[in-house]
Amino acid sequence: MRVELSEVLWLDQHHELSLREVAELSGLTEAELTELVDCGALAPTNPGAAQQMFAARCVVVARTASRLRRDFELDAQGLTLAMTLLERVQDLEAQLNELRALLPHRVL
Amino acid sequence: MPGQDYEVAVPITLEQAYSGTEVNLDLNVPAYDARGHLRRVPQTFKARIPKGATEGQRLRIAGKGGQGINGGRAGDLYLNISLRPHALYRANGHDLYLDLPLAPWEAVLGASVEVPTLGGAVRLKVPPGTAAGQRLRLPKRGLPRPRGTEGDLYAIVQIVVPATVADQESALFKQLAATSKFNPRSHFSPVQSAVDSGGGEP
Repeated sequence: MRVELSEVLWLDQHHELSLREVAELSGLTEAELTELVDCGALAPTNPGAAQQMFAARCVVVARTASRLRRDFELDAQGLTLAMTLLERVQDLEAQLNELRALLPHRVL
Repeated sequence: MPGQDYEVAVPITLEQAYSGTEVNLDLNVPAYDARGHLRRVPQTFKARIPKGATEGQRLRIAGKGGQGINGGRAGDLYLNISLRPHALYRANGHDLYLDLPLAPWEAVLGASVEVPTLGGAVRLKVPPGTAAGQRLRLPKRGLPRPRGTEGDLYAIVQIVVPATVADQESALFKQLAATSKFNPRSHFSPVQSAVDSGGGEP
């Protein structure tokens, strides 16, 4: 069976998407995304511009928010709290990973 | 209505992250059969992971998720990249860390040592008086970033001693011990003096 090779798209800080595109990819409405922007969970790359743009990495955050809202029926405040805590967990994981990288592994 | 998005964990080696790779993704995905029943069907995708992907990187393959309903677009497939543990290197973002064992005399006198990197071995100049735990940076010898720059490789110095020494080596170490005025625990004395005098830490 021949398997077609799929090209991947980076979800990082270099690619930008519009609010509409983030909404389409995350399953959240534009109004819900704006709420996330207002509470600081999502940051546009051009704050204050008429058409806000977002780093593609925001799709990961928006999809997580979408799952939380749908699966746990969270309101805006609950969603903000959950997203803040998740961000804190990710920051701590990153710090832990950095410290682990510094620790010598090889004991002679 | 758009189809469901799928997520799949994709562990890759550091070598694959360094050079880029192709991975086969074998998924069991829900799909409607000819009679309209929802069944899980095996599906295989091949995806090109470009160089520069590192731990926690998310990648998206458009249209490879679940089928759309009533003419909706197909969902997407999201790849969650993780790095497999490596025998030599530890990754932090695009930087790599490597333990660099040195003999005591190499640390004291300095040395030029060969260090393995993902792009091939390089020589690293160890300056005289290098201490254990010191980080020696090899710029641009880490993982490549998607936009062309590279992370760094850090060699973390470990000073190791031989498990056994020959008589001549032992004699030389004894001669060094008798000659050297170096006291690695000199900072203990003021603290101990203060404790002994009942004043606590100075």
